[in-house]
Amino acid sequence: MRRPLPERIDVATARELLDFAAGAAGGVVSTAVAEEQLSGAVALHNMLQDQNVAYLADEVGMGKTYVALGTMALLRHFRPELRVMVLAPKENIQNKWMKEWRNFVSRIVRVEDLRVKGLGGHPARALVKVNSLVDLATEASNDPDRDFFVRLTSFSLPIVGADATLDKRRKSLLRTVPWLQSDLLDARKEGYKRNFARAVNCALPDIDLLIVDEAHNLKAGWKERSSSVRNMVLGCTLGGRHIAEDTAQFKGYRRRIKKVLFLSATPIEYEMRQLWNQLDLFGFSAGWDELRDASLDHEQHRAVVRRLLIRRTAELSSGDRRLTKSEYRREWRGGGIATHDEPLRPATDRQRLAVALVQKKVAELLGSGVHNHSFQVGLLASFESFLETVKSTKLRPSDVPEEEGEDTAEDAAFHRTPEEIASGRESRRDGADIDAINTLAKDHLKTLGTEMPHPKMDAIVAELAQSFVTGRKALVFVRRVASVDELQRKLEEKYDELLFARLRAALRGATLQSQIETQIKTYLAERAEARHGIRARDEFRNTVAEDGEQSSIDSFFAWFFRGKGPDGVRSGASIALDLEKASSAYSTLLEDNYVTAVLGVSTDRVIAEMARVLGISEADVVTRVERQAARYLGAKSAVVRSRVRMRAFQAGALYLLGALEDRVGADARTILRDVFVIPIRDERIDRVEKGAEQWLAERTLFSELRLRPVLLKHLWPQRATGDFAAILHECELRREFVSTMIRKGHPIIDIFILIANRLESIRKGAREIAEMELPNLAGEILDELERQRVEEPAQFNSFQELAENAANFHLIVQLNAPDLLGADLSRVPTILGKTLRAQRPVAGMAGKVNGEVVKQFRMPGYPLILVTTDLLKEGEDLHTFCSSVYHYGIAWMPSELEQRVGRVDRVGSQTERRLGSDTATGSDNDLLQVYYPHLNDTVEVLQLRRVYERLNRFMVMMHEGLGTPRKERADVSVMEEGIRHVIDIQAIRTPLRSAFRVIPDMVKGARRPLAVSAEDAARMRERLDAIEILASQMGARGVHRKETCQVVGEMILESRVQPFALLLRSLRGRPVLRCVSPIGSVTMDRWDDDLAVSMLGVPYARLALERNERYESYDVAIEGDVLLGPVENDLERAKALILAVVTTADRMEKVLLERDASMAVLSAGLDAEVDVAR
Amino acid sequence: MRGDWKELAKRAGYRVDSSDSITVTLDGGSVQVVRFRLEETEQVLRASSIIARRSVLAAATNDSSYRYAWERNRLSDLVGFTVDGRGRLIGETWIPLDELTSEEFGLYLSELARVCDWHEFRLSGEDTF
Repeated sequence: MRRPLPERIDVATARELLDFAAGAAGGVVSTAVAEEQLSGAVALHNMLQDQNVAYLADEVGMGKTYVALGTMALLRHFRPELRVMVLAPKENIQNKWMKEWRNFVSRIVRVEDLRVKGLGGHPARALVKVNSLVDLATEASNDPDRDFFVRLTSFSLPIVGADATLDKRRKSLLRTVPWLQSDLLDARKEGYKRNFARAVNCALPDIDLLIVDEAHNLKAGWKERSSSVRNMVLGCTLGGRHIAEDTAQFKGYRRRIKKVLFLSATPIEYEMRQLWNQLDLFGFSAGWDELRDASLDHEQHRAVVRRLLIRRTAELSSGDRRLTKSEYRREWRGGGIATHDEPLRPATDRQRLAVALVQKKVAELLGSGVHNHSFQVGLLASFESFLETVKSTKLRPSDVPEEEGEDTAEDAAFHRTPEEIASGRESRRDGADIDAINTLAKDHLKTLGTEMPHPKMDAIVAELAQSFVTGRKALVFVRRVASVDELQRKLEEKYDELLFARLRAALRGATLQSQIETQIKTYLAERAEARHGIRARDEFRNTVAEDGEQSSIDSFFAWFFRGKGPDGVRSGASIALDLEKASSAYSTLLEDNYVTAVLGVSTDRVIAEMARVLGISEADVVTRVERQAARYLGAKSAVVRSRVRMRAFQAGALYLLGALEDRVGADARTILRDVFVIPIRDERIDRVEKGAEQWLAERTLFSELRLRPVLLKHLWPQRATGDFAAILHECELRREFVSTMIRKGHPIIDIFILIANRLESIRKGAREIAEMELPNLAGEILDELERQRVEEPAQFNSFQELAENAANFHLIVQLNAPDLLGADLSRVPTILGKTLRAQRPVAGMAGKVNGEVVKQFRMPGYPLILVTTDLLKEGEDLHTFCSSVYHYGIAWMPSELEQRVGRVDRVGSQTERRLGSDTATGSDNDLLQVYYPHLNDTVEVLQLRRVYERLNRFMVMMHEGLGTPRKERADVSVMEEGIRHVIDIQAIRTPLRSAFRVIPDMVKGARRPLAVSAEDAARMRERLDAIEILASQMGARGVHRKETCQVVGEMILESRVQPFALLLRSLRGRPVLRCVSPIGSVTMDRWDDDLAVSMLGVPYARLALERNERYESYDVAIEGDVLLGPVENDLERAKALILAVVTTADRMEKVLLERDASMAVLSAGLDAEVDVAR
Repeated sequence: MRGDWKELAKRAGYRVDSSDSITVTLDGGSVQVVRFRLEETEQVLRASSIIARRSVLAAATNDSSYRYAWERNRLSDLVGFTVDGRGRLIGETWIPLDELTSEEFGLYLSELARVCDWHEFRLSGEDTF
């Protein structure tokens, strides 16, 4: 038994610092999962302390990121100077890590220890997002004591591009290592990339902890050729290999990494040597050579791996049972997608003929000399589509080569050769059969006048189209970028057919029927025209205003119900706009009637009830409310629009009720404070504004919903406990959610049908007066929702969408819009408007992650189907409302398939909720469905067989009791596969038991007291309180806390004023008070070094410049800081610091800018300075 | 405690040279010479250390060496950057002497030495000062 080392800690120690149950992963972590995460973090901490390397290989969706961050927090708490670098595979995941670290520190870290967590909950150490290798060198050399978040794609280091670009890059790097011989960085010379990486290494500090996310991407290890050049650059940058011969040229080059923590759910593909490769890349392979010793057997390898790696298996509850992944996933390996384990077969003679033709062509092709009867898995285009791939001159946006999610031009350029870039296409990814298929498809079109049928695509489109009826979300992975478009287009056409049928059935009367037919024809004509040329991809709308909506030709929904809609028509889009406008006939429909809510009465009783509780007559109620409303409306009340008018009367009534000393009064005051942010416009107005009876009795969707308990429970459940402000906040958030979903999502179709039938026409302006007088639209909408609830319980409809949202409200908010939780209610409509804008029934993604689509996919409603390339295989969580994954384009590696499924197999997934609910059916339909659609009579079967074998092999290697893995070859030989003995390729369904569990010895360690206790943190707040008071006593005005750790104010200096901010920061765990005082922006041509120097030299005050290239100016500030030691010295030190900084800043402002700007002018600049300082 | 910074240095484990300077040895073995100047008020001690000569600094700067120094001041904690009369890049920190503990003094010193050493090595590839 190994004795605990002094640096080790135990779980109890970690628990004092970390509370994993406090909101990780959207606040849905159970106690058991939280305990598992905590023990994982401790085990990894101890492994890193013992041997400097550890591997976390928990199954997908178990919160590896949080476990790793827990380890990082533990290490830093006990060693505050710990330098950390996080290596993410690509930019969206890099961003996610930064976001998660902030969330983690804010929620999971219990103590504001000034080491991990600063006062107010921010990370104590600054975060840096690194965008390139030069960026890494520059940022690290400027200030190495920050947390660096880098991405793997930056290490591609492209050498294509203009000479000027390469020269600029070289010069930028040389500025960080000016002593380096510049010719070493000549891009024309051999070894350029290696040298560049080594030069960056010389600019880096030692990194105490490197976290490598999705480390399986590095399984090829250290190779200086072909596809692993990126690995070589990475290895050299971080000094993973000694370079004795170049030491003189690269002074200081060495291994920069002290400890490394690898993360991946799929750490290997088929051999343990791949683990060694990963260790070796960073210089950690010494002592692990057994991993690459081919003479060792499987069990011997496992024994070694157990020292390095931990892996926990995911489990879900289903009744009394605990199911492992092998049990709660249902794999459709037979190829079919309608009936489990049935194969997919061509349905018609035409389809069979097409398949036969294609198979013949493919067979001829593979039989040719080049291919030798073999092909690489995933690289036969015909498996996905027969659609002709167009050449470079006709490139559509979607044909731009996929770059696995790389987001920058630098990243995008790497994977292509100069010839590929010149030709505009990338042959490697197009597939071996592309030319043959193109010829065939062209002939078919020419001869028969139609596209060649593709049975697999046709089948999946037909199956997925069911989602428009059932509401079941589906995630579809394809290999080819063009397949995203093709599938999306065909599915949109299916959706359109259903929507047309619905509108034709629901709209009453010949006029409406004729009008809608006209609209459909117009749309189809526009669509045909648009799709003839460049397809109007939704991604293009990113060019429109940030919070704007735009129609598009993608679907009838996007054309008729989104954006402005067609001209001259009372379209769904125009109604949606009216619901939002303050002055339309529907402007109050989605408001709440707060007065009825406070009084607990229906709208027809509101005046009488007010009279009762206020103890005055109804006439007096009316008069007083109208007088108060006039004050809210101000002098121009005559032109004030209806929603504002209603709110003024509501505010007037709440103002009167707020005078009461009971619960009604308290609630009214809270609503006035939190919801009615509009101030009284003119207190002096003493007239009445008629309309109290109308606006206090206004029936809105929500006032009417309160009268229907069953619907209310489903759509707008009210929190029963807690203080009223919290209840109100949630109630309003929920209301805004429903309102926004109604305006922007599927429910707008129902609203359109109701209004069109009332107006009997969709010609704009046809019956505007009638529209204004429509009685009780809210009631009719609720009637329709009630009908859907009762009559269509298993169908996708507005009720289902809204009810799902209500039932999972907290999960949705925390995952998609956590900002809402602490947001002013006035900001909520804007945040939600952006989150839910530009909805579409089918979404496609390739090239770049669209964050809005990702968020919408993990909410109820549109999009119901998301078609994507492997762009989304990592990083984005899509699990909350989706439990079906289609591998339409198969991936070769088990890790890729596992990562794909991992998007929907996560803590808090729809599958988990369904299996654990009372309504679980117990059938296989409750499980997470994984489809491998393929045709049974094609060579694709051979491909699938190999992939299944790999999947099973991976499971065998990582789990106990499943046998011993067999070796295999990397490509598929048509000749050999055809005669090979058919092995068992069924999915493993037995319970899984990890071979690499956390054992008790891993979490054994010392019980250590925290370096900083919660009491210490509380005292720090008190110290800043005292400094805040001091600032006021020194003559500063407007001194207040902007955040917990930040005091701002304006110092009065004789006749002048100087804004400043005080920040409590930390240095190696010690509190440091920083004072920042902004001066403003000075254009470069006006800047005078000598003048600036003449004003410096004051103790503490340092001049801080930020170059602003865009405006050719410098943002100028004076900054200074001082250690806070014994508390009794705080005020003296703070006073000296503040005086030095603000007087120097003021003097410099006077001389340089000849002005005296106040906080109002400089607040933005101050915020920017503070952001950097934090 | 005012003016007794040499006593503080001794208690913090440093040896003061005859020229009012201290040689700080860092963890990696490199050394940094820190010079001190007592301000007129005798309440604040300025500690400084040379980072790079004019020629070395020139190779790293786009235009003005002053601005090179000032652009780094936004990111730095406790230690500021400036350029002296001989065009050298200097790291400096201001130490309040009133009630200063030897532990605090040591922290100021080690931080200054660490930051200067980092920039010196990066700019020159050497440990010169």
